[in-house]
Amino acid sequence: MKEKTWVEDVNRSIYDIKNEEKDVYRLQAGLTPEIVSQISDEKHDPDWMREFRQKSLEIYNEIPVPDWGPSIEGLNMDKIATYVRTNTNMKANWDDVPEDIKKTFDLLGIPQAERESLAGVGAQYDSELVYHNVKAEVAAQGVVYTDMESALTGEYADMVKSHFMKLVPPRDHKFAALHGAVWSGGSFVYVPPGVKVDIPLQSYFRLNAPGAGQFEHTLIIVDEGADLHFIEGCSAPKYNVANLHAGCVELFVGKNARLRYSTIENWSKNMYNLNTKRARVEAGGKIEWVSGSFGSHVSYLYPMSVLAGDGARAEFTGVTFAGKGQNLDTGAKMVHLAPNTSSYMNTRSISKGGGISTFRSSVTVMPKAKHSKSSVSCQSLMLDRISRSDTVPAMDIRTSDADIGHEAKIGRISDDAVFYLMSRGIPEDEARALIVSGFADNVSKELPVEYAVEMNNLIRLEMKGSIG
Amino acid sequence: MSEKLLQVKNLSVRVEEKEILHGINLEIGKGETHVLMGPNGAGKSTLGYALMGNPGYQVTGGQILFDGNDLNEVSVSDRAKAGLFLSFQNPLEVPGITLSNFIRSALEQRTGERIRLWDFRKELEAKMEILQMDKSYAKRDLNVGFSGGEKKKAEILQLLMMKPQLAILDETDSGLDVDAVRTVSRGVEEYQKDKDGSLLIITHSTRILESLHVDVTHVLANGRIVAEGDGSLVDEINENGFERFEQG
Amino acid sequence: MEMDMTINRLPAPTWNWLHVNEATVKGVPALQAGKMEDETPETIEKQVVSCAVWNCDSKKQPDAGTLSAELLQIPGGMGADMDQLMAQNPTDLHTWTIAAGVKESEPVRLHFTYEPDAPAQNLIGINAEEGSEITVIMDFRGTDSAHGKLTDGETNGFKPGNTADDDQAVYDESENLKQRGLAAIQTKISAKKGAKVHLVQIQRLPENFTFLNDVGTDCGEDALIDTVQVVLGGGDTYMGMRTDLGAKAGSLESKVGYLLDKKEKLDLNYLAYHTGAKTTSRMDVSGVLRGESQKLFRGTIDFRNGSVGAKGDEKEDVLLFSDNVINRTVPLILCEEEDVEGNHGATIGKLDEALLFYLSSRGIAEEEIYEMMARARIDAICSGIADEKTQELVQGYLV
Repeated sequence: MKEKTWVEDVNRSIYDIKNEEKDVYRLQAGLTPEIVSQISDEKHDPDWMREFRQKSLEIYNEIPVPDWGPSIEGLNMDKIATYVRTNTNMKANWDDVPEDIKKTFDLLGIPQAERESLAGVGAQYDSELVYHNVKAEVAAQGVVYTDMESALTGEYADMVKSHFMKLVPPRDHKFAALHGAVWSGGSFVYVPPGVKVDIPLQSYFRLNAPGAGQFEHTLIIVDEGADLHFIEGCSAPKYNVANLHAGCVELFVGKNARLRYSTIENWSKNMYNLNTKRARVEAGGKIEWVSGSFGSHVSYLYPMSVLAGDGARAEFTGVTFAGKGQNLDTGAKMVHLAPNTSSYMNTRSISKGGGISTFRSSVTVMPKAKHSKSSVSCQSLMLDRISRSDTVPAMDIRTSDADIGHEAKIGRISDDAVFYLMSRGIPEDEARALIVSGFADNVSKELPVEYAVEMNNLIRLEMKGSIG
Repeated sequence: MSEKLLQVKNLSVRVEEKEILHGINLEIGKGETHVLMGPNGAGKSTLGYALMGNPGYQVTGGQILFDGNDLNEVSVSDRAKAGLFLSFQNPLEVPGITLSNFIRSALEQRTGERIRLWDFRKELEAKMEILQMDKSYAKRDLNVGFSGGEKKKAEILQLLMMKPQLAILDETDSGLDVDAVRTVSRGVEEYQKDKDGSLLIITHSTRILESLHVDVTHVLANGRIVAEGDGSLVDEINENGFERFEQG
Repeated sequence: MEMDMTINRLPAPTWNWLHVNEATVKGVPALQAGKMEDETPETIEKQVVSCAVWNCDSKKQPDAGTLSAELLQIPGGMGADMDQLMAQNPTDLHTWTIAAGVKESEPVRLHFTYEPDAPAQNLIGINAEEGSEITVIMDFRGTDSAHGKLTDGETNGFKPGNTADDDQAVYDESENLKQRGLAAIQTKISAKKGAKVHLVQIQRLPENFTFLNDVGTDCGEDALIDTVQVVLGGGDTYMGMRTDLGAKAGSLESKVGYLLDKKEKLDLNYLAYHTGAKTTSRMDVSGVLRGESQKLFRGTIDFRNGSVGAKGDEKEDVLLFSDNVINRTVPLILCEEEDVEGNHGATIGKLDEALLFYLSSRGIAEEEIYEMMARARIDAICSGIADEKTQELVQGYLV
């Protein structure tokens, strides 16, 4: 059993395994209508999707890059091969997954996690899913968990068409448009009315090819009164060229339904993570985001919750750890459209070794959202003088019948706390790591235990990295 | 005896989704002192709030008549103007408004006339002395940073200044030490004397009643009046507790 | 020559769709010198530096080493466009200097009177030498016409507004400015080592005015900048304030109170710029929105390298009395120093229901409670004004 939370031999190198790029089909770098059309060919897109991709490409070319966040100058879109996939079809049997890919996922603990505690697993390697499996009993409840490509033409094609990029339209921002043009892979989940999925579903994304992009699309529909926990993990090995992740997650939470969406993101530190996540919550429904951001060179990540129905609720719990060479701009957006809605945000950011972390948020309460409540609490920890930590929240309140609270704090590790732990025989670096893990426990408390362990390991790695 | 000041007829009250009071009947005459006793959670404070018209307490049945007038549609502030007063169990803190200014504006609101500062101050100081309150409290923001005891005294001070026809004291003695209870009782006596005021004293202990003459005692349990008697009922409860009222 | 100004830029921009990154004031006409009367205690030296001397018209920097050069290089909260506006029109710089070690308890009183058909500007400098203490009280009023009858902005009207769906965040004033008054004032403050500067500004312009009010302060070692600004009137008010805390243990105490009604707008940009060790800043912004009024508060605590041991505190408290108001708040904490403490807290909403019940139970009508609570906010802000006469002025205005 995992009784020890500190794994002594934890080693970042398991995330850094690179596999030889062989037997791969690779499109030329850069983005043209022809490339987008080739993607459509490859994926046997239905006509509406062909059109959708081309239109998105046009929008992509119109919209400027964001002028407010971290610099993405290191990202040369002309050099990004937008579509890479291994010569492997999707497998439903783990043994059939190619050896090198399997080894990577094994090291990451994916199938093991599935065996132990997951209702289903999808593993995406570069642009395609390589493995997908759902436990029989979950499937028997009518839960659909499949890759997006199959969903596009399968039994749920109409449902996919009526939801795909409706919540995150390509016009939203440049990288949403890019996603619309070149998206590939990802998962589709449908939970029928009233069905409670007791154990989590999981997707794991792995980007292996250098200088590539990953643009998976996750579409989850939790129907009326249903309940689901979905876990997303991401990683990539370190290359010298920039990689790009511009995924899109669209979550539809029905009346009185509940969805928990947990992410531990640990992309390698050459990754530009420009990801868009959004949930729409109907009356009485609830979205719970649990988010840990550890990897990437640059991140723009702000899951948005649109509280569209009376009494809809949203919770966001997040931790961001920006180490050397990282500029992580993370946070959340809450939009209250309906009466009696409530939102709650609780985040922690940690900056170290020259890393920059920015907490960015917005709370919008529209005139119709009478009797709404919102509470935001963000805390930041500076671990040295060469790092940076910014807090950039915004509130826009348009009804008097609202109860809005906000608090932000920034500070450092108290010397007294370190001294106290050291006086009990704990070495200084260990003491500091413990304190930082404790600081991030808003998230670790919300995660299944093996993820909490992984997260604490990541914190420990980051902490050790600088000492000595 | 005297004419009825307050008549509560078959009153039922709901808080959120739950009915707390079920068909309460109660009558208080001018100048009378009534005690409402009962175990925790019986609905005593709910009755106080309902009489004062707290919008969170919904009257689902019955009537409250004050001086013969139905209070059903009457706003909280108009009930106060009519002569009802509720001393809060947990008075709220109001930053930016001093105790003295607050009482003065409440009085001016009631009469619609400006009150001469000199007369007001003199009276306020006299009442504060009865309550053994330091004069400096007059200039402090209402209840802000007051101790539990000072808050209760500030409530009684408002009672003495506003001179209502009926004062409802909600657990005014809870959380006070012996001396403070004595001081507060003195204030309540002063109110009785001063204006022949009626009183409804909500309490679950009997300490505040020691020096007061009680006309009627009501026992409330599980949202119903389960017993009524004269002042001697207080002594009986003092000895035996509420147990016999709680059954059934 | 008309000027389009971009002012009150957020020090770290955020999503454009929020429309909070800056304010745009279009069509600002040429301005003349605003009418100002002063009462100056004898201990304080008053100077008028003509436009020609501080080189405003030649677009050059003032001569180095002069007081005007020292004051005018202090950046304000509104940004460069405001400096340019001041330089664009021939304006004299009025300065008040208090000598080292002199502590004057009698305030300098400056009364500004603006006329709706005579767009005007004033440029003020306050220089407190080592160990001195000075209080400056500025009172802004307007006339309803060029004939000079003084009118105060009405603040007591408590009428529910009509429906407002004014989503606009880029305020285009060009139409407004053709029909209403415009006043612009810039105040530059230098507090030398150990000096204390108290600045009080009472804004009670009529509602047909657009008002630009910019403050820039430089806070020396162990010095104190203490400001109280009360906005009671005015149609559209833009205020910026920047405090440079560059020397050890300098501190800022800034309080802003406002009562907005009808279609009034208030756009604020406040920055505490910490570069010195053990510097402290406190910003306390509190107010009431009624009618169809709008408020946007940008408040930034910026801890730069070197601000070891610095502390910054921001507090905002907004009462919303109408469903047609727009309240926006953007409180930033920027930090590149480890050993600092920054806090921000905001509460926004209507009056607490329990409080409302408590006060009503004492016989106070609901509308009166709202009035009382609005007044209580301004009173709380004014309790920071040491000068009794000024306190009375504000309170008298509120009755």
